[in-house]
Amino acid sequence: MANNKKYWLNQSKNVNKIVYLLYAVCAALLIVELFYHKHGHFDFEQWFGFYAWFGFIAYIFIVMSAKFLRKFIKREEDYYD
Amino acid sequence: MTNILLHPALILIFGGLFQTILPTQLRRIFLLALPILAGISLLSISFGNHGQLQLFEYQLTLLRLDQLSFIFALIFLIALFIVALYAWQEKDKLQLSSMFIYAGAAIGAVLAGDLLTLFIFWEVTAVSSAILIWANKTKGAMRAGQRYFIIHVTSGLFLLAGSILHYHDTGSLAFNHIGIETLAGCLILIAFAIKCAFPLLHNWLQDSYPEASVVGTVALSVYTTKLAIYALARGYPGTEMLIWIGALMTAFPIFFAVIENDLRRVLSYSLNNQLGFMVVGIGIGTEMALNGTAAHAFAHILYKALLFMSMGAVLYRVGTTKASELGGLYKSMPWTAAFCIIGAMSISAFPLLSGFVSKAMILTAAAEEHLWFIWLVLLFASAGVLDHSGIKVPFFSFFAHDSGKRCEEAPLNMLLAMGIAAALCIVIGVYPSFLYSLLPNTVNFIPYTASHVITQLQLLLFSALAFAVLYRNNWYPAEIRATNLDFDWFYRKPGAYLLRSFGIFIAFGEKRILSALKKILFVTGTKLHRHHGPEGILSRTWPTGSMVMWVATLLGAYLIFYYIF
Repeated sequence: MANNKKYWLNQSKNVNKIVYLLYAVCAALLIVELFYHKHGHFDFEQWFGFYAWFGFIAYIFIVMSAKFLRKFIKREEDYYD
Repeated sequence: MTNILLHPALILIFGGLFQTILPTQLRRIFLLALPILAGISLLSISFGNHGQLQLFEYQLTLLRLDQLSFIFALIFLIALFIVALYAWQEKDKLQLSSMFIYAGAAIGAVLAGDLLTLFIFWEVTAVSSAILIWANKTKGAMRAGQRYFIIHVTSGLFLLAGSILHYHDTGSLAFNHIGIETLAGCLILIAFAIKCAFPLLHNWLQDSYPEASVVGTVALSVYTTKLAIYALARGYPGTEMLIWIGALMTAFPIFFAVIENDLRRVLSYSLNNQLGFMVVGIGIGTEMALNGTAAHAFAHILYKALLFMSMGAVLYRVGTTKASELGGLYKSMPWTAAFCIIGAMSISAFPLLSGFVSKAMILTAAAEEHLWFIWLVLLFASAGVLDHSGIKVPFFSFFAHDSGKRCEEAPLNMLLAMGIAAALCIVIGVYPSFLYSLLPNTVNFIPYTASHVITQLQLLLFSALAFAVLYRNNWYPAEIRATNLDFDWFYRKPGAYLLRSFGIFIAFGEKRILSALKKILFVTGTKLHRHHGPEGILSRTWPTGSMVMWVATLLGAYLIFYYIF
């Protein structure tokens, strides 16, 4: 099926727009911290932006360590055949 | 309930068998009506024990309905309706039959009031679900199905052995709190642990689910493991060990999910990780935690089925779910992509979607018990969920690098099934009180507080930010065709090798034993021929009189024995 339709997402400038929007929302979420009282069960939840940096670091750690794990457990696709 | 034939499980099982004789159109409507009929039956049953009967010395309870069994039976039926709609075009009657028997047996097991009834339904789910894997008819599916079948029948054997011991210990087969203090309790726990895919017992899941048919995988994702969650919540609430096992379960599959290429296998790892949250809830065992487990199971069944349906639609149209072969499919399948994103956001627990209102209860329960380490592991795993299910599955199939593959949008019935599941994810997220009213304990939890919404968005969006940074710098691990070793390597390589050597050894012994047996048979045969053959002394015809005499002798002997003993 030939499809010559133009897609908004095909243009890299539009993809950039989405990423910039993500940056902006993230920044806003950090700024909001200053204006409300955070409820939590643990003291460390009160640290500034705890969830934000925990999420960011956890994510990078997971992806990079999984990438490292590949060195040990990656085999050919037909390994078990 | 007066008539046990109105048992929802039996309606589904017999209906599933009966549909094979119906013409196509009628069959489709009949199959959609079955879960509704079973649902009416379920709603008409009052809470309490029904179908009690005495089998030898055992007191059985075929149907026990309370809050906990009700919520699981209900979501099993809702899911069955969705799967039946998804399977509208399926022509393979064997597959449809086994799907309904499987769902019926899972509901029967959830409603079982005693361990024997549980065991019977437990084994029926094992057999019928294995057929769903074999239905894909590939070589991989055949083998994975065999492994799946052996492992699940083994789980049933543990359950049976444990139940017999439990009966000897307690004098009752009733399925209530069991605990791990006795050997019986430990055996039954192993049975549940296998079906729940505990760490190191988990590989059957990632091995078989991606090999099953398009429809089969969706059905499989609903029942087997959630039946095990129900059984654990019934028999082992508050067992501390489960907190640690559950936490481990949430954490380790995410690493495998990140580097897995087959997106249905990614979803299987993700399923394993979601089960971990529920197991933690069972281990904590407080009212809040058990509510969280039941709520999370309910929400999870819907979004996980939704994700598997979207990948099933991709498999149906494109023929593969390998991330390395996909990309840019949103151009061809915009609706499927949209539904997949709703499922992905639900499992990631974005506000206004179902995962947000259910998972948080388990985290709050952990926090209330001051389990800070467990709580951190769950938070860590939540960031992991966002990666493999929230981003990876929709991103690499529908967006990312355009694979150039163009296909038709998924068939209407599949879109409708996905649409219903997606709508339910949103309804639960927006009106959580509906779900909360079904939970086993009174709910004392408000999901939508400023704190919860903002902190959750911080966690998720900063994780997404991390993805953007990694991906745009080409640090994100590329999708490549590969097999990643997991614990199943031990039984698929050295284990299989040992078994094969053992087989050769046996074959050698077999030859010698067989030749010896042949010799014995030959000797006996000749002797038999001598006495019973045409010329044999024992094959002569005797007069009636001698027979009467022998009967009288036997009766006499019987009388003597009777009086002596």
